[in-house]
Amino acid sequence: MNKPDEQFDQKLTQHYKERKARTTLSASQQKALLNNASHKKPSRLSFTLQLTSLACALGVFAFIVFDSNEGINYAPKTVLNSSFKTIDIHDYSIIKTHEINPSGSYTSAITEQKHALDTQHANSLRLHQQRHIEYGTLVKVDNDWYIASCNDEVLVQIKQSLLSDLKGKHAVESGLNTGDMLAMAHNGKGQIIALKHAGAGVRQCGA
Amino acid sequence: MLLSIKSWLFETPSKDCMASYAKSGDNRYLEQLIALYSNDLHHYLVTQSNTHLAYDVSQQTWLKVIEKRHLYQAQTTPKAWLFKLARNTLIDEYRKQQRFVELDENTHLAAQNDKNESGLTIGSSNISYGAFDAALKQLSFVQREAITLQQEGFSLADIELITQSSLETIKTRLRYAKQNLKRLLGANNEQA
Repeated sequence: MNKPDEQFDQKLTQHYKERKARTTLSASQQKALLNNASHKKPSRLSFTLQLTSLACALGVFAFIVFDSNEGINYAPKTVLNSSFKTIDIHDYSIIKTHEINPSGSYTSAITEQKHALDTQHANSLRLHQQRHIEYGTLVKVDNDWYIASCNDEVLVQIKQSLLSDLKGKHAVESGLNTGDMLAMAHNGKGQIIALKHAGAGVRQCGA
Repeated sequence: MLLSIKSWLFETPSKDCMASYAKSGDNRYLEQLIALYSNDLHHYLVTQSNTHLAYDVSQQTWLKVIEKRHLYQAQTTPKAWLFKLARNTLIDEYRKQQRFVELDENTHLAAQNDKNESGLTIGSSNISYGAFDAALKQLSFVQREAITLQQEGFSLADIELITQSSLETIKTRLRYAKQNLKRLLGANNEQA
């Protein structure tokens, strides 16, 4: 560095120091800076709390939205979770399963949905019960009994011989009168094995 | 044991108050920082803007120190880190006021003159304080900044960190700043 430059730098530094000395902060200004900075701290805390509350609210909102979108069946009996959505297998009547079994061969199976099986079971049970307990109204009593069945407008005629046989087995309830709703119990072969009042639950056909 | 009791009783202040403050958040360190650096920071801001804005940005900067203390890394100079915060705050403020276009060499952001006390002589120099102040404020933002930071005692690497400019750019700015100052002060002297 040559002499003129050195002199200039010295002057520059001198001027700069002088300028700086004229622009110092007073003690009160420094104190005000500190007070302002310290005073702002709680607002920072409240801001953090606000952000946290907002995040929580968004989380709850997202949960509600996604829960209502994907959880159509509110009480699924069986669910299969995947990364995309929750599958309720009750939405499907048949499930086809394809896999390689432990022996290494390809196998496929069809799994019927449990509720379909349940429904089928309930229907079967109802048919079974209909088959074994037939309801009808006692419309005429002479030697034979005539019962208007609830099943497809069938009139059931019970001959004296069967009535005697059933009464001998105490399979006919006493006090049966014309107009009563009766229950006819059948065995597995469709034979009537007992006659009784249908009970308080069945006052008329279809009830 | 005795040594630890002694150190607890006569705790020597850490050399890097900023690191201590970043670690603990203790207001005592903030006080030390303000005592140590607030004047330097304020002068830099006054040079780059005006008294009113400088004080406002100064306050904002100290708030940022509180908010961003966790971002401070002990390997950087605390003063350089504070100046960087102050500079960014000032630029943000200018942009808010739509007074700042670009930080290139040609951007000539004339610092607003406070009430100049012209006619005062500085030391044995025949250049008045007013003339020097006026000449400094005629420099472009980045040239004035380069010369101010150098006079603050920052190394070129520190200035590089504060201004986020390359070393060569900073050297160029310093060279042009001095040339322009010489020219401006020479012209003032001739006028006088």
